[in-house]
Amino acid sequence: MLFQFKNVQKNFGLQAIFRNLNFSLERGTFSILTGSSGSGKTTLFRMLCGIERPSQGSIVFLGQQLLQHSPTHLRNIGFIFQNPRGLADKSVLHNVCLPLEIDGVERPEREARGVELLMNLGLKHRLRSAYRELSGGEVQKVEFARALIRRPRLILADEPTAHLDTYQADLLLDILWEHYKDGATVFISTHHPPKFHHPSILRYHIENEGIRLLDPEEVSLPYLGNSQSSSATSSNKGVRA
Amino acid sequence: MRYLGEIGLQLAFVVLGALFLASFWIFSNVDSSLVQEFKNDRVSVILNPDYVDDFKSFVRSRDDVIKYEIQDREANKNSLRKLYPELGSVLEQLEESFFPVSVNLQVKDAPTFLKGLEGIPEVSAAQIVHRPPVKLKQFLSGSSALFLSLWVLALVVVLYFQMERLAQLQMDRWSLMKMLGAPSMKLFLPICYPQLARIILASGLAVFLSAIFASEFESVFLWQWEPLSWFINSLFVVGSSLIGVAVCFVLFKLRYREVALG
Repeated sequence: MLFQFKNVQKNFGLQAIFRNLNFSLERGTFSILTGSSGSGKTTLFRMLCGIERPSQGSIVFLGQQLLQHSPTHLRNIGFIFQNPRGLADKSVLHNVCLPLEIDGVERPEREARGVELLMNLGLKHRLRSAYRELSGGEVQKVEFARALIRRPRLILADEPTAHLDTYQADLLLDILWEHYKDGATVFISTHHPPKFHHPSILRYHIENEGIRLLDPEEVSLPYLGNSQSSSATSSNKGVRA
Repeated sequence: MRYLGEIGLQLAFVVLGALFLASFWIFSNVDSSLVQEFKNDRVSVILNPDYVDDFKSFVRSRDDVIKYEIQDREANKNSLRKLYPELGSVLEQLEESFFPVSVNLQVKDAPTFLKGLEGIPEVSAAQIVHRPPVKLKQFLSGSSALFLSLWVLALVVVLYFQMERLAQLQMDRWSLMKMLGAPSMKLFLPICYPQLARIILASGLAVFLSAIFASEFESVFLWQWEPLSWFINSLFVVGSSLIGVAVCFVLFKLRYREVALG
């Protein structure tokens, strides 16, 4: 068990966002959280990150009460936030390589890894550009690259594809899927879930101040079968085609 | 306007540091000469000449007597003659039996000693001759302590405003670094070095100012002033730097704790 929410209640003023929420996130899962605007997706995500604290109840992370993630934990978690967090005056490459710089990786090695990742995301031409010069979609990709460059064991992504077109969104979901296949736990909150079904994907939905795990039957999406080796989104494209 | 305030605080820090050093310099000079010279209470006792040996054994039995000196009749006659040379011819004619035997004592606490003399038949009279300048010493040490506290306060306030300004400027960076699991020392050290340089510079200026003050003071009050040793001055600079780094670290930790992830 990675995360466990025990009777969590979260209020903002008089408004309750969650009431008696009991929810757990297992290791090695690919989970998608959906819900209408204002339903509490970002709040739940912020509670997972340790930014928000529950008004009542507790969140257990790796068997211990979560108050704030320790630096050691944080180095194993890749966060992708809805709003960009990059250093505006620094280059794209610097922003992406920052986690490795913190880890003490030598410059040539971290730059090589950063360049490779950015090339995969189609940002080779932007390596030396300042972060503030990027478009919304490019910023999202850089955020993605920075979160994934350490190959974290847990990826928490809040609306990671919000500013992207379908093709770009599929590309990023493909990358997340690759990480999942490598053993990472992926948790995404999104307005626009992938339009396919896969047995490995757990879908949660926020409703009535709680979270419900959706049955596959409830999700009327094209079925992709059991092959985890296939790319999630490329299969998706195949189905759509 | 904010920068003016910060410059003002920095100047206050330098001036208070200089004042602390100056008052410490005066205190150490006064303490090592004036106070040291007359640091003990002095008592004079007139004795019955037949009981000198008894009084000696009494004095030796007491722990609070630091030093004593017995003056016989002749010594007292000579002392008076030296003190009042114009009365020399009169004093010369007087027999020694008209002069007392006295004891000058240096004791730890004169009133306690005088109480101890009560009821001793060999003592004809006793009085306190001198008490050390305790008030002066208290005033000087109090001034040094006051300036030291004000100087530390100025240091904390200077660093607090510096840290607030830096926190506002670097909030996004701190937040990102925290989210990425950066150890706080990684952020603290680049902040600490400029602050440390600033404190060393300000302490150096304070030492310089106090030296100017000391030279002016010496020219006004002619006395044998000993300058503050380089060791004390270096200790001041090193102490300022250490206290500054410690204060800076505590302020940074408190501020960094409030920074949200991402």
